[in-house]
Amino acid sequence: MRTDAPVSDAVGGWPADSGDALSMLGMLQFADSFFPSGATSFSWGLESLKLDGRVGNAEQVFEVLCAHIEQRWAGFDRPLMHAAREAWVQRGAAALNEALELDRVCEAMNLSRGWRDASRRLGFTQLRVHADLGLGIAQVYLDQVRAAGMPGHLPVVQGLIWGAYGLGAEGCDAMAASGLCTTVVGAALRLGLIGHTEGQRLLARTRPLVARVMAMPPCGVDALWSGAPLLDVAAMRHEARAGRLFAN
Amino acid sequence: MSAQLNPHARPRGAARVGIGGPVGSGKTALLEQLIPRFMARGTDIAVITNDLVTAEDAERVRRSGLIAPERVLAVETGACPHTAIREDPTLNLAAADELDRAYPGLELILIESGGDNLASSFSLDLVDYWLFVIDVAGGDDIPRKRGLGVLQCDLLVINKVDLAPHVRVNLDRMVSEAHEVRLGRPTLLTNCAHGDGVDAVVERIAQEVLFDR
Repeated sequence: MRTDAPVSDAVGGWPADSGDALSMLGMLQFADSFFPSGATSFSWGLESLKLDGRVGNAEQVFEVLCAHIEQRWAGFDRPLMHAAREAWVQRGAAALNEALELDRVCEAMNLSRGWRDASRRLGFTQLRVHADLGLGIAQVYLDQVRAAGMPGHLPVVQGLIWGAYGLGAEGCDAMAASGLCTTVVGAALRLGLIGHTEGQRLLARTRPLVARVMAMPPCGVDALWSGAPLLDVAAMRHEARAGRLFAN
Repeated sequence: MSAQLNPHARPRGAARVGIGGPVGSGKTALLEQLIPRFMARGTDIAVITNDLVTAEDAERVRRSGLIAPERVLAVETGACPHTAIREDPTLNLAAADELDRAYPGLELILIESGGDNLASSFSLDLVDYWLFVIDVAGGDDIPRKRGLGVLQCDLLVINKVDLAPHVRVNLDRMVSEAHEVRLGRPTLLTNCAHGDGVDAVVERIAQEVLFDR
């Protein structure tokens, strides 16, 4: 397996051959809400759904979570992340051109500006932080975003960066899905839709669904799909709101 | 591996100065007084605001006519404002990066936090220097409450000093206590409604972060 910077380097410079434990600790670090990613600024449609009276309780927040995992992430972000990671695993730094092409596909197929901008901004923050941590491929890709105007979409960046740390496909799935769920639940908490205990219940309830998605092979990049019209409309309506706590 | 070892280390962009403080203390008013003074000094400047719920501060600065509107970026915080300037300042860093790319000669970015509590502070990875703005109307006991903002900021600004007699604040004691808890680090007094004392703030920022520019 090719690695740019072993995950051990990003968690304190321990020996790189300590294997699974270091990878697991690295995954916990990168997926933790303490990891600076900018995610807290995004509600992924929840704020508009609340303002429009579509979501008002924990059960409806759960439906939003399920829609995100099943109807958006499973068929769109996840396959892109896997394709970028696999490109790194197979070709190392030579995967850059393939990643850039995946980035273009992600830009072209993201329906609403709210999703596109969020994906670009969160991809940028990941690149920036990992570049600052010393991950070479993150700096190279960041330079492409800065100089060549590449979008730097989140799932492509996740796949490339986490692949460069040598993290496995299943771990990347878990990190990406749990990051998305935590972000939405955190937004629900701040929007006053749920309390902290209910938030943890929702995350636990979402796990089986995430596991079912993870058990299936990701579709090919030529078969990307998403189908969550209510979320898409919420994202579009959010763009025009003057008073808002979240960016999407 | 550390960032210092990175052969692709980012080029240094504009100096970044944070402005934090409680709601209503006069952060935006200070910003509006700082902008024309730095522009008069010939400093190439841009602004980032962090607003809670609205883009009101950003719009206020854009419409002020003091600075080209495209040089003012707004960051939605999605949470208590200190989150976006301390625990996770990545979106502010991204905004600063965007300004650096858009304006290659940029020298100074002023980053205004959303109004927050006395425990708010800036990440040292986000700013080179930061101000904490309090005002006399908030009570003369603020310095001795020893909030992180008061204790840790590079420059404490006590604003609305003209109101002191009207809100029964002993300004001398307030300043003395500020000096005491800050172990002598600088404190300046302003009335941003009229610009009193702002020249000294500009001078201090220029000395501390623009000295090599």
